[in-house]
Amino acid sequence: MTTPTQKKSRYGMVIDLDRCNGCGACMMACAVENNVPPAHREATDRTGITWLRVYRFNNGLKFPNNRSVFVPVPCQQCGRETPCVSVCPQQAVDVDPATGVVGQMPERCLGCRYCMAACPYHARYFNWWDAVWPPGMEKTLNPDVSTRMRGVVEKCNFCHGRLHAARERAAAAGRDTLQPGEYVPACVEACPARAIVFGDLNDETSEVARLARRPEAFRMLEQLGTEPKIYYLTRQSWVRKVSEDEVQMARKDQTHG
Amino acid sequence: MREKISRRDLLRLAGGSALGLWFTPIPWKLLDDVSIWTQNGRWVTSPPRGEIQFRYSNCTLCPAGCGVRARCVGGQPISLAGIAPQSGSRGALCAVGLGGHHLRYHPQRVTQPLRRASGISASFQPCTPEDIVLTVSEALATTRASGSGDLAAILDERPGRVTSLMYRNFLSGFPNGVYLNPVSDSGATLHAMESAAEKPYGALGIDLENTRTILSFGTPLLDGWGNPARLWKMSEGLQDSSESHLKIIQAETHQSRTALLADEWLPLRPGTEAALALGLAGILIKEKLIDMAALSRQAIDLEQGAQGSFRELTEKFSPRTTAAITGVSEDKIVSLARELVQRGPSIVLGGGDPGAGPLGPEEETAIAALNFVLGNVGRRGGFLPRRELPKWLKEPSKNLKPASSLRDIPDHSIRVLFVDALPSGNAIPWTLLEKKLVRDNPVVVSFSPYLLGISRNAQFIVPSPVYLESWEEVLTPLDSPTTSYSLSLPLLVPPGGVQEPFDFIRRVAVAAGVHLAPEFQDVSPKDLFKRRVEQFHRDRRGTIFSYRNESETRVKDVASADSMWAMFCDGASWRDDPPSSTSPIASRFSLLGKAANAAERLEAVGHGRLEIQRDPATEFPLVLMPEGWRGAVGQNGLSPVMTKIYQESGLRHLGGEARVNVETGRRWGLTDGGPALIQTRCGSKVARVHFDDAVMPEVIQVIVGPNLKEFHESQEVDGRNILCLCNLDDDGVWRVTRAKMSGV
Repeated sequence: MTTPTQKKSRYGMVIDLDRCNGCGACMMACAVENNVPPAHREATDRTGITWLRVYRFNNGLKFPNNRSVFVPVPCQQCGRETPCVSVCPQQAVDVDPATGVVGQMPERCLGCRYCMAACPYHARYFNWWDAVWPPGMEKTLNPDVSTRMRGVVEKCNFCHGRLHAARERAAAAGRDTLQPGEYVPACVEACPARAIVFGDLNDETSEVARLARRPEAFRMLEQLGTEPKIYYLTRQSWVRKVSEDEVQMARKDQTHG
Repeated sequence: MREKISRRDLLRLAGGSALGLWFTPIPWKLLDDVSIWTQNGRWVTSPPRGEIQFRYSNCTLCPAGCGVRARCVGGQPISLAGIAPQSGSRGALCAVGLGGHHLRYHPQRVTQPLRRASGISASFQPCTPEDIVLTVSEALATTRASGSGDLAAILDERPGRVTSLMYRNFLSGFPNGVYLNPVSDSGATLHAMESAAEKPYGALGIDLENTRTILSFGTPLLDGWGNPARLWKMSEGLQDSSESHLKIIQAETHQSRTALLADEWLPLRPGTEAALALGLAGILIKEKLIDMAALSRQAIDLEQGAQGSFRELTEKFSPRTTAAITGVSEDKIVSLARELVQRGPSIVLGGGDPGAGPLGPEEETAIAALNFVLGNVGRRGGFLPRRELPKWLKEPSKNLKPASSLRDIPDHSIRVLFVDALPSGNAIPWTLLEKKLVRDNPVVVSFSPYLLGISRNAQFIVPSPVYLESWEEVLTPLDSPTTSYSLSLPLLVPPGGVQEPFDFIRRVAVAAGVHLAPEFQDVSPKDLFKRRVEQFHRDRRGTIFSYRNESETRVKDVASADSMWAMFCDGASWRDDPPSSTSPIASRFSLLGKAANAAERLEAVGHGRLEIQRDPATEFPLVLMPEGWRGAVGQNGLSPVMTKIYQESGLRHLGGEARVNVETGRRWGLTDGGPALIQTRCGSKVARVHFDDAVMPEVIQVIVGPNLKEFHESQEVDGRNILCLCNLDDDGVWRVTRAKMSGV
C-alpha cells in the first residue's frame, strides 16, 4: 500500500545483451542473497531453482557464422494483467503499488503451480525438495530473507530484503524517499560487465529510464501486453527475434515436471 | 408456539453447516494459517541472527586478488562483494569469488590428515601428521643418501609469496631439491618476452588503458583472464563504431565467451597459432610497416643470429602459406597485419585458457616476436616493466633454490613431491606429474583443503586452510603494469586438524635435519607478512588504499609501520607508484628465442602443433581440445551454490562433457545430450556430448571443470579427469590431441 510519504515508483531493469558473457555472477549473487539452496542431487534444469536464469540462444547458422547470446531472465515484473497474480487462489502473489514489484509470499503458497502455468516467461520455480545446505552452511544464510520449504513456488522479487534495508537506512537519515542507487538487487551489484542497470522507470531522468527509451531496447513477448519492467538492449536484430521465439519454445518444452 | 426440534432437524443443521462452511472463508483461512504455521516451524532452516558488520579481505581463489567486502552476521560472513573504488575490481567479483565464504562447508572438505592405501581407486584413511612427517622424512633421507639422482620437489602454483621463499629455503637443504613453478601460466606471453631479452627486463605488465587493439590467440580476456574487472572496464564500448575504443580480435578454434563479445573472431585451425603470428610478422617486415631501423638495431637475429634468421623464417610463412595452414583467408591476414599498425598501439597475447594449458614454447616465442616487431616493449599502450616488491629479506641465493619448470625435469626422477594446492586457477593434468615421478613408491603430499583434483592421486593429504581461514598474500596480477600487494585475512577460524603448509614444511625440515634460515624459524607467516609491510613503510613507495574508508593514502604520509600494518589488517591494498616515464627499452632481444635449433622448431610447429603431435589422422581423425574457466577447472572446490550454474541451468558445462559441431556429431552417430566414447592413444572416457555449431567441424571441445559428484556429499570423485586423454608432449603441452568418437 502506498503511504502518503512514499513517492510511487516503478522499479525496472535494462539488461544489455551485447555486454553479457554468461559468466553467471548474477545467478550466483542472486542465490546467495535470497537463500536459494544448492541443487538437490536429482535436480535438473527443469526442476532446479534459479530466480535469475541465464539462457544461451544462438542464431542457428552453421560454423563459422554461428553466433550466440546470453539472455538473463529474471521475473519480468509484469505491470499489467500480471498473469501470476490473477490465477493465484491464495493471494500469495501481488503487485506492490508503491514499487511495481510483483511479490511472492511463499508462506501463503499452497503449491498449486497455477502461477507457473500462467507465467509466459518461465520465471517461477517450484520447490520439489526441502531446502538442504551442507552441514554448517546454514550459518551463511542471509537473515533478511526467510527460507522456503518443499511444495511452494518462489521467484525473483528484485531482492525485497534490500529494498527494506534501504528504506530503513533512508528513514534513519530522515528521508522518506530513496536516492538513485541506494537500492539495487544483488545481480545488478554483482555483474562485472555492468550489463544490468536498475532503477525507477518513473523517474524520467534515471539511467534505467533513459536506456529503456533507446531504439534498441525491447521487452520479451511484448505482444502479450503484460508490460514487463525488464528491458533488453541489443544491436543485433537476430537476438531480438530469437529471444522472443525461444522463450515461447522454452515454455512449450519445459513444464517444471 | 414452540415447535419440537427433532433429531432430523439437528442432522439438517449439522449437514447444512458442514456444507455451508465450505462457502465461507473459514476453511481457506485455516488452510492459510496451517500453511504459514508449517513453514515457520522449527523444521524449517532459519537464518542466523546477530550483529551485522562489514569486514574486508582479498580473494585468493585466483591470482587476480580482488578486494572483498564481507557482510557478516555475528562474525560469520554471509555474503561477499567487491570493493567498488579499488583499482581494477570495480566492485564486482566473479561467480567463483561470490561463493568463497561457502568453501569451508564444501562436501569434499578435508579436516584431518589422510593417507591412501595403494592404487588409484583406493580409499583414503585418516592418519596423523606425525605419520606423514615420518614417511616423508624417511623418503627424503633415502633420496639424499642414495645418490641416485632422485629429486625432492615442491610444486608451488602461486610463487613469490613468503611461503614460497620458505619452500625454496627448505629445498636448498637438498642437493637434489627442485622448486617448481606453475605448470600452466596465464602470463606465458609476458614470460616469453621477458626471457627473450638480452638483459633482463624484469617482470612486464600491460598498459591496457592505452592499448587500442588486442590480438588474442585464445586468451580468455573477457572470461577470467588477468584482472577480470580491469578487462571489463577496458572493453566498454566493444563493437562500438568509434575509432578510439579498445578493439579485441580473438583468434581461436572455437567460439569462446571472449570470441562472442570480441569485435572480430578468427576461427583458427587447431594448433596453428605460431603460423599466424609468423605470417603477420612477415607481412610487417616485408611491407616495412614498422620502424625497421629500430627493429634491426634491437633484434639480435632479424637477419642472422646464433639460432638462424627471423626474416628468412617469416618468408616461409607467406600470406598464402599461412592461409593454407590456419584456415584464415589470405586477404584477412594481410589486412590484419596492416590494422595492427594503423590501429596501434596494438598488443598480441597468447594462450591462457585454464583448461587448455600452455600454448607451447614455440607458439609463445612467435607471439613474443610479433610483439617485438610491433615495438611493444616499454611503450605506452604496450608492455611496461614493473618494479619488484620492496626487498624485506636478505635473500642470499645459496639459501633459496631457483625456480625450475616442470618441462626441464627428466621423466621418472621425482621421489618426493609436495603440491601446494593454493588455487592458481589453471588445470594440471595428473598425467603430467605422474610422468615425472619415479616408478617405485613415489611420495606425493598434497596441501589441499579438499579431496579433489591432484589430491585424489596423492599418497598423503595435509588438510590446509580454505580461503578466508588463514593469512595469505596476494601479489601483483599478471597483467598489472604496477606492482601491488595485499593480504587475505582470516575471517573464520579453521577447523581443528587443519595445518598451514608453512608449519608443516617446517616440521618436515626438523625431522629431515634441514636447517632453515633464521628468518623462517619460530615465526608465523603473519609475522613475516608484517615484516614485509614494515619494509613498504621504510621504502616510502606507493600508496595504500583502505577498503573500509575507500580512501587512498601515500605511504610516506602514514605515521608509522604499525599504523600501516593496522590498515592492512583492516583490509587494504598497496600499489606502487606508476613508472615515471615510458621510453622504449634499450635492451636487445632475440626474435627466435634462446632455445637450441629455434628456427627449425618454430618452422616445424608453425605447420600446426607438430601436425597434431605427429599422430596419423587415419586412425584418429578428430582433434580433441580442452577448455576451462579460471578457478573452476576441477583442482579446487567451488561453492555448492555453483550448482545453479552447472546443474540447474546448464549455463556452464560440467567437467568431462564435450561439445562437437552438429554435423560432426551426426556423422559419428551421436545424439545431442547423449553419451559418447572418446578415444585417444592415452585412453578412453565416456562423455556427455552437446551439439554446438560454435565448435569447428572435426574438433571435440572437452570441458575441464568440476564433476557433478563433487558438489554432493558422500560421492567419490574420480581423480583422473578428461585431461588424462590428452597427449602430453615433451614440453608439457596438452592442448591438441588426435581422437575419435563413437556412440555408447
